[in-house]
Amino acid sequence: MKLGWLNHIGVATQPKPLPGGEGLGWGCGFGAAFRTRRRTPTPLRLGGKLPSLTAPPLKGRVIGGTP
Amino acid sequence: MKLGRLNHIGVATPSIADSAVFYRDVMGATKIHEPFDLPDQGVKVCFVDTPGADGALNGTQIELIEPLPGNTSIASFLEKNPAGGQHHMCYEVPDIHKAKAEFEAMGKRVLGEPRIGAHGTLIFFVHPRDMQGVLTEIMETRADH
Repeated sequence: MKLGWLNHIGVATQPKPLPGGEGLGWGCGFGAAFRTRRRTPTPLRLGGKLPSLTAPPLKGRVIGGTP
Repeated sequence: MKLGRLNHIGVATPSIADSAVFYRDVMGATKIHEPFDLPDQGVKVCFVDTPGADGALNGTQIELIEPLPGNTSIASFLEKNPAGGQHHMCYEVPDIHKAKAEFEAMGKRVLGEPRIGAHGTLIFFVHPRDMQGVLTEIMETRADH
């Protein structure tokens, strides 16, 4: 094992869609971040089973703000 | 405010010596700096280098933080998290005083005046309740970087 690049820091947030409502909602970053249409938010279970961590890294993708 | 480089992640630990062994033997860190005291802030710190995107050891650092005797903030953090844990994130800015004014203009609670931090440049902290629950350190970029 050799320490690699620190790819990202996970920061939990409240289960509420962002203003504008498109795409980024609860569960973003775990496969739901890049959807362009609204879907029913999927609760992230912090205290129990964790979501899949095998989703591709966020490197190079714009996930917030104005592009 | 413009997001600057993520300089380091602060990780509180009851023992820098034990944590350094962990980062060396479990995580494979190859560059662990000498620990040193920051008496003004009541802590002993030790930086662990990680690779940047280019593979060189210029990535975001891990800042191991151990309370010095009499320290209350880190000690209370460790009371709640006896094994230690992530404590803060530190971003760089080009001008610390301008950054402080901008945070204050946005109604964010800046904790104290800018003071010398572990990298020898001016730093301040912003209250986690105003920062999405993350204690945030802002540091002025070193002149040689």
